[in-house]
Amino acid sequence: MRSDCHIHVRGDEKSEDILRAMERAKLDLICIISWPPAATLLELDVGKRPTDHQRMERTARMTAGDRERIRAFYWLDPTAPDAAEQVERAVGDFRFSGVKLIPDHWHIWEERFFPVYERIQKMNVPVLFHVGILWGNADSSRFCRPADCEVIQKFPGVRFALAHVGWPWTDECIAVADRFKTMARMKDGRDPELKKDVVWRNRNLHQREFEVDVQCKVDLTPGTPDVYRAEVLRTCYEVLGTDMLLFGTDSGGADDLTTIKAQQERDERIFREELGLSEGDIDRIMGTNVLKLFGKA
Amino acid sequence: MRSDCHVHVRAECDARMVLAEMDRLKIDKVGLLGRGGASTPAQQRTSDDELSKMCSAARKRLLGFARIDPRLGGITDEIKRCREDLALAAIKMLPDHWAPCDDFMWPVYETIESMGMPILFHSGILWGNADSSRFCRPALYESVIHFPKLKIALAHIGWPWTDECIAVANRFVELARRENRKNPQVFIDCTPGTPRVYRKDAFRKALACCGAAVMLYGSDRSVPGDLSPSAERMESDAGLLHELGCTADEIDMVLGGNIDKLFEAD
Repeated sequence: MRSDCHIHVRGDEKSEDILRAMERAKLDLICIISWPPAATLLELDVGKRPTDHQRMERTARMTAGDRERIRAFYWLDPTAPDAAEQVERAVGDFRFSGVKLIPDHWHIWEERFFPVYERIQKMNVPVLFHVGILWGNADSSRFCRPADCEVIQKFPGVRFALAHVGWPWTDECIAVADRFKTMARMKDGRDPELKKDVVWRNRNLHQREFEVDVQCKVDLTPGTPDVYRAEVLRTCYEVLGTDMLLFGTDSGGADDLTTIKAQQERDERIFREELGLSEGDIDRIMGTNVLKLFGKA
Repeated sequence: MRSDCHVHVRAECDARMVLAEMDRLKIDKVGLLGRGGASTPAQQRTSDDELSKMCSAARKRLLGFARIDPRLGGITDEIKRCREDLALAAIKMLPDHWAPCDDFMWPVYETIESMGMPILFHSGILWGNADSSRFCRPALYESVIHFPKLKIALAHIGWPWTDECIAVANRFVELARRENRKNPQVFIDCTPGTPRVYRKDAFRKALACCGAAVMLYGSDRSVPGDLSPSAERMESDAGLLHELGCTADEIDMVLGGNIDKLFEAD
């Protein structure tokens, strides 16, 4: 199986064209992200300001051809007064599979957003958090630190992915993910080595029998320029193992997925030739792990 | 051409001696950073007057960076005086328990932008100013995106936050490319900062992500004093850049010509 957990829509794609593009690109599942909320500051905005209802409706139409294979994430502005209701409508009425959040001059940990996280938890959908440098949203990168996502532990039913490996804060991103993984493994309690020595917690990292469902995932979407890529993937693998890592590309436009192949080939080469991963582990990262974001093994 | 964008003026100093030292070492231009440290507007004026007097000996070779505290009363008027009356080329700032994204900075940025002066910002760990390093994170300088004609250089490659510094510069390089601008707003001042063990890796990543066109050589040396270590480090950096595959032209840009881009209007 091959998947891409991070594709932005242009806004005018048709479901049948998306499915055709997926066939051509040999992709079994993609996550598409709706057009941004009107309040978002984007340099490439070109004056498109659809209402929230239009954003939901248009993106939902794109998934209609196959909602198992095309998963839509609703880009939410949590500062909107009706943000929690938007989550309910997007998931309940328009069958979105997740929520996308980009901190745009607000902090992930602010208590005013807790009702939004509670509603996301109630609707049982994951969140894709932008973390790392931003190329839009004016001067908002400082609000996009991976460590800010630690607050989501207060909402244990919310699965979430940290996009872009948080670049340039990749170590911080990996540390946060490691924390969530270790918490989950401790709670699970099956790994005898972890019980003996939590500091050397990675001794059984690659033992499938001790694998647990971790609330946090790492979305490998660049972010990382090529010069960083191999060392970042290596660190992710050595600290986190393979079960939390999701392949993504940040492609723009869901009906032309031809550029994804080069990114797949680059990452697969690193996994196979530089890190020595098995084909099974490569298949998980490049394909099936995305299902875990939706609570499916 | 060889230049050093980061030389501190530590005490009153005869410009002729600095120029003689530069001639001896074949350094064509230096960015001279004023003494600053002013706690009153009068002290600020004294620092700026002194720097201007020094630079007046050869304004094309001694580029005066007025080191200011943006919180001082009347600072915008002083910035205008630095440019219009004192012919100083640029501004130097070091966030000392204030952040570059603070609202109070907006009129300061507006004034500096309107004067056509670039800013050399300290970024990275501080060895002075008590516990102020946290105010010197490279990402905090993204705020200059609101002032598109303003150019800045982030000193010390932001070490220990070199990746963050490179990411910020990379963002502005891409923005300039998209907007067809000759130069980006953000440059990387390669002044150490980086201990030797980090330097090659930081250069490799800066070159790959941002390119040689935005990297400036600097030494953090002081005058009055011996500038020989600047010339020695310049040679060392030239070697590193060569090892990393830079052409002779690219090496010349980093060690020399790029400093002029700070002053070019788009």
